[in-house]
Amino acid sequence: MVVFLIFLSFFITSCTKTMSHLNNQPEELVLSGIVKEDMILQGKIIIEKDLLIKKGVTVTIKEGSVVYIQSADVSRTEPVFLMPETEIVVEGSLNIDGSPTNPVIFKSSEKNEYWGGIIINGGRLSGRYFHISYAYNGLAILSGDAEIKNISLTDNRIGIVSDSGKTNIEDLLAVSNEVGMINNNLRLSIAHSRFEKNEEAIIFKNCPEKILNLSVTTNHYGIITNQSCINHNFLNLISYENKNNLIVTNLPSIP
Amino acid sequence: MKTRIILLLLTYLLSLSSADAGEYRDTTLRELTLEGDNIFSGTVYIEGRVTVNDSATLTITEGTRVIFRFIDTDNDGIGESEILSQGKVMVSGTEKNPVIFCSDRKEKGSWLGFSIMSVDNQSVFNYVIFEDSYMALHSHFSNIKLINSVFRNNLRGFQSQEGDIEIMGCVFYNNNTALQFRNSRAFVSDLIIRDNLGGMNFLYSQVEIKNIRIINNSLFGLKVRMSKAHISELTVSNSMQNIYGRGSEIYAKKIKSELSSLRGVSFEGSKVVLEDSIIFNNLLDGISLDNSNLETANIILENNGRFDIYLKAGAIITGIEKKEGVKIFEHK
Repeated sequence: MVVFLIFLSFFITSCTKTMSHLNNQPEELVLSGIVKEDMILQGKIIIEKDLLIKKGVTVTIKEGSVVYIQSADVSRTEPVFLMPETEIVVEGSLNIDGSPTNPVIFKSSEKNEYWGGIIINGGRLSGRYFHISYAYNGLAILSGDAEIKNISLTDNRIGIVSDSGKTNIEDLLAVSNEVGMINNNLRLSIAHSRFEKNEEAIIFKNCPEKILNLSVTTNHYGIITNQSCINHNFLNLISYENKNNLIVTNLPSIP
Repeated sequence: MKTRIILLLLTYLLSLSSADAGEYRDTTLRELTLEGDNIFSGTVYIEGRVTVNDSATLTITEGTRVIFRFIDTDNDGIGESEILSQGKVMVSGTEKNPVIFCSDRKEKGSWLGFSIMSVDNQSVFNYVIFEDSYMALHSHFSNIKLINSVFRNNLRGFQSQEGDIEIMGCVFYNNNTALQFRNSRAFVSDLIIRDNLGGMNFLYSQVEIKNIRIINNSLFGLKVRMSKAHISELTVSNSMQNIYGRGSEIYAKKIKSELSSLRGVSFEGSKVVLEDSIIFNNLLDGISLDNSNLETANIILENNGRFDIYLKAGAIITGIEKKEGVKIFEHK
């Protein structure tokens, strides 16, 4: 595989590079710590320890890149930023620029070991054609904005968490996660997406702003929500062939 | 050129200098080691690291403002000014005139923190406000009493490793993570922990928790892992995961857990006693037990979304009367 680094990463804390002997281009890039200046990455990327993209900084990951995330040390007990597991925290901007034939892949470097996930904490995510697996929270949008198209989430504890901020999701595929999605966000718009073979496909604590053409099939539990979401927003949602299609609770809406 | 190098060297050596006991009021301390008994009052600016030597003490009087200059030589956005104490610390604010630790930049992570390292004598922080820090108060191998204090807008609020800790009457809000304890003995009471990303986290610790309200913390409310905990009068509300225990022995009484996105209380590999408690309005499940043993008495389970009780991997629950409307599921 042709691997190259477009913009060198000497701006990063605790960053090491393994250089190939060919054209002085890195064979793989090992990252951790705080990203301080803009970077454009492509190729094999190893996240050795927690990574924070700080405010004002933009990181772009180009098509075909594979991002391997290493497990946190067994002895590690506190989160460096937010979670005990190795995580990518975005306070600046993260652009994931995959393509239909060459998506960007985020995966654990060790088999059956979970990593923390990508956490948007006041930053911005713009992503298309990317895949996340084996994370505790595959993608957690705690605050900030996200514009996501063509994302697949598989074998995560929780595929995606949407808490707040303007979030648009199109063409999401969530398969074989424990929970496909948890939404607390009133400003979520989700369209043309599928949830399959998850233990619990979707938990709506708050209702999204917009749902269009959402398919929830073959999950153990389809949708768990409260009454207000049913009244407002479910016209374009199809839920069938789940062992339990829909659980509507009497839980009050959270302001 | 030679003169310039000598001057630079002298400046550097002076910056590493130590100071005898003294009173510091309306002054700036730079890269200094304090000896003897020291008092801060008025406004004290800190630039770089100020160390309190192991035979020294530091007393900070009511109304003092300790302002950590934002210095970021490695451009990572985290301030580097800090106090590192290897001696006993007494911070004595009052309700009217608290002591304030802050920065000249109003942003999380603007100063590194106040660290107490290997101090056997109890350090006391009373009526103190910590704000805009990276790790506001950090205790390592030390004995700390923290009362009537506020932690706000820090990346991490309080952290103890291998410590003996008492925390009472404090409020933690708008921090990334509020409190963390590892290998510590802790007594924690009368706290409000709200609007943080993560609440209170115990690992390999022995803890007594009493009269705590943990509300609106995004990721989790209370985590107890590989620990022994005695909990009473605890309210946890509106987190993704409200109360989570793993590999722990927990006695809990008068617990109220509501409005979790997932589970009101969740235990893995734990032995738990739960009495006089109410678990309600949680979106997924009220109680989730995985390979755990839960003994209950006088529990109210109401209006949890999917199940009131979810049992997995041979989990055992006792003391629950099979009332009409209580939804129990056992995963075979």
